[in-house]
Amino acid sequence: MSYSDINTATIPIKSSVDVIIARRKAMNMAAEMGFPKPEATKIAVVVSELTRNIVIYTDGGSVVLTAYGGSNKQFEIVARDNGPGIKDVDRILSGGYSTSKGLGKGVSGSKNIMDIFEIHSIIGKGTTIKTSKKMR
Amino acid sequence: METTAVQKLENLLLVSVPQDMTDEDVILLRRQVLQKIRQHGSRWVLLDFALVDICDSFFGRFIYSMAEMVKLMGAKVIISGLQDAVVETLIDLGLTLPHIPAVLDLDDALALARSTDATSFGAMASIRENVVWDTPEAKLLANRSEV
Repeated sequence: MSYSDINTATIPIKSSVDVIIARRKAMNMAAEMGFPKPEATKIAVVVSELTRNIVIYTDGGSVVLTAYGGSNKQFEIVARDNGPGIKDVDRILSGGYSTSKGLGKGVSGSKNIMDIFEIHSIIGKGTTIKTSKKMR
Repeated sequence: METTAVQKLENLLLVSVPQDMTDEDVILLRRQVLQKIRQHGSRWVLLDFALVDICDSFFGRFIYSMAEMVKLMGAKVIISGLQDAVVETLIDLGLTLPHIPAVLDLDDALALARSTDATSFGAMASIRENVVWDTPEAKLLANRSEV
């Protein structure tokens, strides 16, 4: 894969306006690399869910969006924050968890939409969610 | 957003939901709708999503809570204009909107509100020919006409 096949954007997440900027950027990048509209929409919604969690539960963070071209096209989202961390990752992933405004559903739903979904969380340090979706 | 998103049409409130709303905008819009129901004595709130191309779980809950609040004020919500990609995404996310009638476009939304109004006022004969969709109201009308 050559360098020119990779398109990446880093967006700081602090307020709900950043959520809109990030998901709109994701929608455009995914559509540009050839994802059909429903798939680009799903990617944008996952970005919306993950970045909103950063706004609601933490003091801020960032999201890195990467479009991988070449023969194995895929879209990767890495959402990072320095928030309180997630106590029960398994419960969040199963959707039976909602600590503030019913967002457990957003994470479990996002996992259903994406192909790979990994949560790395350390209590008191922060959370990183790395997820990707392949183009079929 | 502001007031242009919510317009009064007889006993209806027509809400053209804007494309990119922050969470704060969403809550403001909901308050605005509740105020307008009070102000105009509206019976129906038509939430038109024709402009919306990204609808996440927060938004889904907003629709649901708006419908519940509107109900407590004696009015009803109808959803119209959900785009194909939005519908696919909502279901894949695991979000459904039970008990909220959804129709294809504003024409159907208006027709549904009108027919339900007519049914509740007992003026069934005048709308019988115009009922073309498959709703409990329509079935009720059809059954009654056979008696």
